[in-house]
Amino acid sequence: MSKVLIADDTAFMRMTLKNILEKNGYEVVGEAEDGVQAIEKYKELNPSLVTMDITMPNLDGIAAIKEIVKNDPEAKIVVCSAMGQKALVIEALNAGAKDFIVKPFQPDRIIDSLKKFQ
Amino acid sequence: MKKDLEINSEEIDILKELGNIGLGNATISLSEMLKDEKIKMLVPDVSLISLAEVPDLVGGPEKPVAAVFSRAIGEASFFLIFLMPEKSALNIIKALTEGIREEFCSLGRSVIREVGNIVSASYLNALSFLTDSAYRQTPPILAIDMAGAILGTIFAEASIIEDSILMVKTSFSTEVNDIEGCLIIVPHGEGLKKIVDILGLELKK
Repeated sequence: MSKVLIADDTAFMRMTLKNILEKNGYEVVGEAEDGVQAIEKYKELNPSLVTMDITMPNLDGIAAIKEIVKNDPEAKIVVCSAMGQKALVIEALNAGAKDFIVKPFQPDRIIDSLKKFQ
Repeated sequence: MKKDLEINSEEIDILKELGNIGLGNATISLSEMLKDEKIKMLVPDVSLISLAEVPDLVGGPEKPVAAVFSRAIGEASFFLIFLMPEKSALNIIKALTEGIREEFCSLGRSVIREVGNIVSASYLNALSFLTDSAYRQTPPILAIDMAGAILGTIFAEASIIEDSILMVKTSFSTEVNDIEGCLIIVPHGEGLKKIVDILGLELKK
């Protein structure tokens, strides 16, 4: 079973993602409310997949991706953000994200993306 | 009224169109969240008004509202305020939690904050596409209170010291879930001029 870390500053979005993932056989091993927590929890939990929001307090998702990938170049991170601007998508992919999903999303879009990295 | 805030009809048209396309994009997102419910959008209203009059645009200073506020930073800087009557906010919570929650509990507040986040970001996505430039957004802040109190706090936090502000307000409503609200764009200083400049038009001096 793939272990997933969810990073999003909104409790409702973390709950929505957790429900989608657990219904599809993923184990959510941790939740982070900002980029700093995402980096710490990645080190602590060593998840096989991460869903990462961009607009978060303290440290945004793109900075968190850079730090995680610096320590683990094999990290599999999928961005899940309402900010779907071309420049930001390119910035996130350059930082090391494997995919970019724009909110609001259909559950299938999340699962189809994560399946590619199992 | 400050002279540098003067605006001509052509510029008003540009801002109306931005409001239209921006909120058009935002309502598509909201509609998807509400299981494809049809959302009616009104023609954007561009006004130069005094700070004291702003609460009147949303039903008066004493109207209970939920507001999600963030700042957009990019080639232009401005504030995004997603505002809806308290009743509509409760209806959104009910619709998105499938009836599990009907109150401003911590999950309910989180629902409204995320809806405001997605609507504001959708507006920025459209603006970014139209102007071919990137915008970042500060994490949205949620407030539930009387309109006058919330807007006063937002203007203070945003350090808006002008007597009058230029704002673009776009309103929407739905029938099935009985939701109404608006997105208010308050350009910050040079924000408006830059937006208009980027679109290749000179702002009247």
